[in-house]
Amino acid sequence: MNELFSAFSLSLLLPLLGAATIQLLNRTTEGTINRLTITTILLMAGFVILSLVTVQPEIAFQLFSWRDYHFEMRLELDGVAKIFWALTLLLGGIVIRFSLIYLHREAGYARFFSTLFFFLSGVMVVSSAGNLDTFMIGWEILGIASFLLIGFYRNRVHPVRNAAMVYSIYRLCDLGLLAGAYLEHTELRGMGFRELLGPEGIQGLAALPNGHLFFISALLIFAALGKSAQLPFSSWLPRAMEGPTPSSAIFYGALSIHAGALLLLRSEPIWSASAHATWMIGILGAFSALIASGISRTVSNIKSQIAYGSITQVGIIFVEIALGLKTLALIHILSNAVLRCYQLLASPSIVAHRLKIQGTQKPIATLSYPLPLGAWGRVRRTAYAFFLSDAYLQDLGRVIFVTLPQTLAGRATQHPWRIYVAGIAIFSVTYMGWDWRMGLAAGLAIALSLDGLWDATQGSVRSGTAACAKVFDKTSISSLIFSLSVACLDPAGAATGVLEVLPFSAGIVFWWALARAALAGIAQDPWGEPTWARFPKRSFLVFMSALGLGGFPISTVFFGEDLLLHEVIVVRPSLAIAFTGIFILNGIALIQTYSRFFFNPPRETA
Amino acid sequence: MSSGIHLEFIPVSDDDDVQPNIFQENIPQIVTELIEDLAHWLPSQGPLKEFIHHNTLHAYQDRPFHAAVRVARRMTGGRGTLKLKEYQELFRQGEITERGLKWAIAAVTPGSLDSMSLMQTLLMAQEKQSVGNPLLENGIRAKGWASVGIRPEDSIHPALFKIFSQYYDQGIATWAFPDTGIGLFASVASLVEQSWVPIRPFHTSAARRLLQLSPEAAMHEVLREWVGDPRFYKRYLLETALGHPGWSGMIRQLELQPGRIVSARPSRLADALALELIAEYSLFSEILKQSVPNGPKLLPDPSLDVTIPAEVPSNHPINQATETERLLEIWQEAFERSYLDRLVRTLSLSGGGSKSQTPKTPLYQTVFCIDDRECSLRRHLEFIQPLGETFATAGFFGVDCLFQGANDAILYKHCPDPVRPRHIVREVVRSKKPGSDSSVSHFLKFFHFSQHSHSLIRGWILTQALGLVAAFKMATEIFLGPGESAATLGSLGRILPTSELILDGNDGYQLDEMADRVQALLKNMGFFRPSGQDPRGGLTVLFGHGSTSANNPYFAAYDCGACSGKPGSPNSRAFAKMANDSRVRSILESRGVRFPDATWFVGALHDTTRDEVRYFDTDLIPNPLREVFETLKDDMEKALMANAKERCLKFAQVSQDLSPKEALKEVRHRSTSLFEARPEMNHATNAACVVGRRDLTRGLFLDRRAFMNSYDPQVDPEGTILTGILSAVVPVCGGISLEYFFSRTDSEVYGAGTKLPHNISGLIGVLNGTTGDLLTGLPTQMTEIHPPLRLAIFVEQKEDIALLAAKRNAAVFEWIQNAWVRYLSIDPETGKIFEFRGDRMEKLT
Repeated sequence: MNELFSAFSLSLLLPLLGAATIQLLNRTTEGTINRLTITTILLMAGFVILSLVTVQPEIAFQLFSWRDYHFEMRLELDGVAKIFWALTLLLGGIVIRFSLIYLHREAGYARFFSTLFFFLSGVMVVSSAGNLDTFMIGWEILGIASFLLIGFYRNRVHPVRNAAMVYSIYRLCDLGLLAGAYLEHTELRGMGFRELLGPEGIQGLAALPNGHLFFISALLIFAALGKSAQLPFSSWLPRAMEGPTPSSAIFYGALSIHAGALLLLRSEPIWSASAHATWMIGILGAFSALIASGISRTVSNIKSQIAYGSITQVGIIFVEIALGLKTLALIHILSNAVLRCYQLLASPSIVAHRLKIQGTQKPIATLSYPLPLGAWGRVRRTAYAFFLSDAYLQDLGRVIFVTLPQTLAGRATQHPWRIYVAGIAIFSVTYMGWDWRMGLAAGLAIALSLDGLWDATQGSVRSGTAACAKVFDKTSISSLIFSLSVACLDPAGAATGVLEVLPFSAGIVFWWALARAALAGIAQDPWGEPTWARFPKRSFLVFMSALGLGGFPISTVFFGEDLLLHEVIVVRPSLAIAFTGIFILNGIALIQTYSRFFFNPPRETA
Repeated sequence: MSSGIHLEFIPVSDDDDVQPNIFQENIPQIVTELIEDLAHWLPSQGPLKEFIHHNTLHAYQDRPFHAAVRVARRMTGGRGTLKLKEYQELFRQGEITERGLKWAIAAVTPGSLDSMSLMQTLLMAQEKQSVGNPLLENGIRAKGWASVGIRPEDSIHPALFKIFSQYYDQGIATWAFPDTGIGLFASVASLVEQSWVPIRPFHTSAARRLLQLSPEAAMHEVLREWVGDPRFYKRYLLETALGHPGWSGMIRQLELQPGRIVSARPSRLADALALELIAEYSLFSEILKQSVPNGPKLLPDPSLDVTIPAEVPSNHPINQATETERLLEIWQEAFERSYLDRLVRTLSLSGGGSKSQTPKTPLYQTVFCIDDRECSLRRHLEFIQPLGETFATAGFFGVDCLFQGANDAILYKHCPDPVRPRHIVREVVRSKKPGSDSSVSHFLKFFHFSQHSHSLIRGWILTQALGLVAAFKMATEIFLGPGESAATLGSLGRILPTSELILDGNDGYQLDEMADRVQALLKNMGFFRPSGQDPRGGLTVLFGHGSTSANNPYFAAYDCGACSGKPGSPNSRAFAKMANDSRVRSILESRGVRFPDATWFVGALHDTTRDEVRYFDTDLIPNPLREVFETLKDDMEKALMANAKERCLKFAQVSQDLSPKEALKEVRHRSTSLFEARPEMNHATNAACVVGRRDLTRGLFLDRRAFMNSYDPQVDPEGTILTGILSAVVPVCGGISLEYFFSRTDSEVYGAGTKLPHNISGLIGVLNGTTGDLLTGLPTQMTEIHPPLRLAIFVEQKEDIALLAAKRNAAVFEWIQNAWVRYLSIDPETGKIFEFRGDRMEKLT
């Protein structure tokens, strides 16, 4: 048990503790927060350095166990982890030192440092995770922390909208990690990263059919592409630059964007066993690098330029990883992280710097070039237009995230019953021959979930408590129905089946009840102060509920969901994907609802 | 005025094909006139390179202050007062006195019988938070968008802003917009035509066709098709332009003053609006294609009231004050009156300047800028050296020039904004050892700013090779404090110590022009001995001022306003050179201005952030004055320390117990710190301006809140010199005062909001995040401690002459008459104070 009280574990706990303490004391003076922050970062620095220079035992314990299902928490500090920890400490220290003064008198001073520590703990968990399950916990922390810091200016329209958008993309890519992790669970018995490298892992991997291997790899690559803003997701990165400059510097310039590369480094044994997957990483990385460097030439605001510059390098890092140049990739991650962090921190100086150059030299050469006419000129202009249009990535995103769902859900939701009929019909037909109850339940769950998502994107959520509660109802019920359907299909008999879905269902009911209780009594004032400012405690509770319902690792929902999937995959693998999908959709719907309802930018026209 | 042109329109018939001829012929004219009209209501802030403070509500200046605030609110949604609860809090704190409040009630509602209940209302009333821009929200354009079901901020603005930003880019992107030389509209049209891939939202056939027309014709066609009714054209264009006031205003400014950016960009607001209308139309026709066969129609309700508040009188029903607005006006008057009361009492302490405190034979003279930041330095210097005498005048010292430094490729304007300089001052380096870096060492020093780091191959090499060096650089800069880095823009190095100024080049000053300037400046600031015609002799040092800050896009707003946001060192140095020139002196002698034998002028620079000074051409000081100069230098060092100490008291994160020496270290550290969002407090808290002899204010603690301009009423019986001073002081100081005022009262609409998430676009402007409109005004970090008070200008002169002097310049008098500044006179003999009210000077009680 003493492994739980090592410098290693304390380094992991301290930022979490700091985040919680600062959040609890957020009404105190700036000076108090200032001292708390310094204390936390200094203590953390001490333990981290101690962990780096000494040999630390790995942390491993069963967080949850059910018959043949085990959820194992495993953290170990290997070479890669140590490099990431050192980087986190260096950049964290710099950004905190920077922000303590820079954010002076800013509303949300405490909130900023609390979220920053939360984020740092996420990076440390991700980098020292010993298996995919633990990795996922850190990964989710990064997502939530990003949402909070992009939406730091919660009274303004753009930050709030972009925060919800970035979170939605993150969540969509989580689909890859979630499903990948479940499959790894069943197919590779939840082996940790170290075992995968060992003889046991090699055996296990060799035993897998090639198709399965590629499928798992593709899911993981999908997750990595999203988190690292590679094609086709690149356009979220510049949009995430809505928070205070230092937060953009450490998140999107430096640490968060390399999380995808880290996932690839960790899961190398899996994907490198599949040649297709390896090619996929290399080609997508190379494409991303090419396109992003092109876009960076045609953006004229400094933060976007740095963002695309960073995407370019991460693309190259993907190529290096695909080529098996692990050390080079690691050095590249380090150097790219610090360089981009520095560039962003100093980005307000760009005027001074370039004007100095501009004033003392002839105008910058590229600025005065005349493009030739004729065919070559048209090629040049076409390239320019292509990159000026963001390589149509945003349009692609709009089609996927806005137009498509709106046409799909919108057409159906004009007559809401249709979506239900459609969902039920599809699943009933699919599973008719097998188990009609299952089909009915799954169809209903999917229909409810889609309906909830549609509600969440409507303006009414912004102004009506009832509309907001309805989204919570629909998502909760859809999750519950699904878990019930799993109980029904348990071959061992209904009684045990109910027990298995209990952790999940109980969690859902708990968070749903909490959300409803917190929402009750909130009167919305669409043109007044935002709701979070008028009801800070209720707002916090609803946020926790949204996280809990979305499967964030703070309650039994998280393991329950894992456990459920474990069951589903055993019986009916195709349903597992449907279930993960529902889960992701619910998560997106809830966070969209939360941000629209509580942040409620007062100047937004309805 | 030209709103009358609508009457010429013949109502459009229902049949689109039959267009009245008058329409076809006058298209360009009509649309151009509409745009000229509406451009008036856009913000007038220029690019970041220089920052010229101006009245945020300049466009409304022909109305009385309170009416203008109301009208502007109806146009922009911005508020021009504090909130009711803020005033009530100020009252509780005693910042607003009961006397002030009573005075304001009587002044705003004369003859009110029930002032007690009004007082009660003022103290208890609550304000409903009003939000958004009513003009846009209730406008016809919003309805059009609602009918399509999307918002312009989502669908049109990001794409348009990207094109604007790219077109006007001054050096961020590595690929420039093609064919910028032919203008915004034409270059976009050519790009759309030449490119094989579509550029949204100009991808539809409708857009491609419209891009072939002239901007005006295209605009007109869209208006005709989409809006239909000519009565709504102007309002529609106005709403379009005000949908992004930042970009509209910037484009308009560059249209009016193309020279304000280095890489030339032909600029027309009409181009931008035409592109936007085409983009809108293109999008609408794409979305509404199915439902409307002949192209989309907005079909505004013909009964809709489309009055533009700024185009109707202040007493028009839509501009009438609401109950809350009336209360707010009373509070604002009370707030200002409470401060004015205190200030008047303070100024009376000096006995109205009747007792002279200045030394009979001063040891030396120093001349500063009128800037409120120099107010405390003068006080400290006089305290440390009672035998010294200080003056203040606009910090360009009458040298109205364009300046080109030794390392500059272009000319910089170094005089107040309204002045059009015709003379050029050049800096040349005497010894062949310029201080500039070689390109290699420069690159190594500043590689993190290199554009190459964003490209593919070079970026890869650069990142791999230098990325880790960045860690070291960053850590030293953040933890140990940076030295002078690329991020820093310092005024001290603006001119090199080893250089020489060339004043009399072909495009420079003639000798008699120099003499004119020297004579005028000395006369304006009352530099002649009261007893006779001769100017003061001995050593005179002129301190221009500038600032140093790092990581600060608003750097220009920290420099000298009288030099168009640049350091004043070239001007002070040039003036000294003129005044020391024996040829100039002999011309002056022939005009009856005789300098005493040992007279020498020295140009210098005071860095207001670092509290550091530089003297120029000190080797030329004649021997008899060297000793005095050394004394002055010592005195100045002490004064700077004391000044730094005084400034540190206003920084919340700095200990109040610093010794003056530590304080000096602190302010110097701030000036180069990457993360210091407040390198100095700048003009925050400015509230007053005193034009008169130093006797009036010497020894008074004005808390760095007053601009000061030296002026001797005895040599100006007609008030003509005063007129000259006022024509500089009123727009410059008034502009500073009002820009702080409105940036403080509405930090989101009139100000730029908090600077922490700011991002730089094209080196010309600032935006939040990466997708929004350009921001105008000042960030909250500069204005948060500023109490919004209109500037109270005191002139030391007989009241009737003071009024005459103000009336002589109609532009100046507009400020005073419409109460954008308060105008008061102090009688030089009796010390009685008069205030301009209504149409005359009234004695203050």
